[in-house]
Amino acid sequence: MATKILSVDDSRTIRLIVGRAFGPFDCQLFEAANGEEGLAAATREKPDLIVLDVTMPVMDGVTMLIKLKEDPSLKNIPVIMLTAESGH
Amino acid sequence: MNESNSMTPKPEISKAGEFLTEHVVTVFETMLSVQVAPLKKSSAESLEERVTGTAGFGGEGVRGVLYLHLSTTTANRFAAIMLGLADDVAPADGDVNDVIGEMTNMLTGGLKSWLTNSGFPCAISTPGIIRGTSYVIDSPPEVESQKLVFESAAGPVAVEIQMQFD
Repeated sequence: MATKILSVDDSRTIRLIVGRAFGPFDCQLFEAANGEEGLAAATREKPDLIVLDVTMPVMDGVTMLIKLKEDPSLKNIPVIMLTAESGH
Repeated sequence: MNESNSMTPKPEISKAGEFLTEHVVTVFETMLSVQVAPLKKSSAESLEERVTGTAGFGGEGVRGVLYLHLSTTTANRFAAIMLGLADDVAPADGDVNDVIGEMTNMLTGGLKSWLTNSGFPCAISTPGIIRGTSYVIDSPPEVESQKLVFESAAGPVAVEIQMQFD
């Protein structure tokens, strides 16, 4: 069974790069363009991993992360924050 | 995280330029596998049809803007590389804007980290794109600015920063 990856980023370019990175592996990629769409996709798909941008319109990545951790059905999904704002 | 205060010495813009010169080389190499080399003299003034990525930064005691200037041809080439398009496939303007916006975001994100490490924590804005012909970016006299120019196989790359400290 393919590993489910959810890429949440407002940039199509970054979602494409994330998809390309997981391409060689047995993964099923889902995409969302902001935190609100990301939360809906996470609830629907229950991904094995979320790759999450920080700065996005509608709902940013930090807010989405807080909401994920508040939800008992989603809080154990591993999240990798992916951002240009490295280090801080 | 370092906190700024009135005792924190303001970094010289030339130091920010030195940091950015290395950072630009790293970002282009990492994200596009494109070698860019710094030039001492600007040749980007002559860019006519241009795509400019822009992102602001601001926080405790500092604010400014970073611009990434490319000719339309160079921007299209970089977008094609990033998106994995064949040489004879032209990327759509929207895709070029997205790629150049992300490159601008990565450059500004590095500058933000450098400023934070220098005692001036700040945040960055979402990037924007300017398209036009033969325009000049100007700034008020109290704002310091520096322009860095690079050469690459796809054409010249110019990065301009404008910064003001309180």
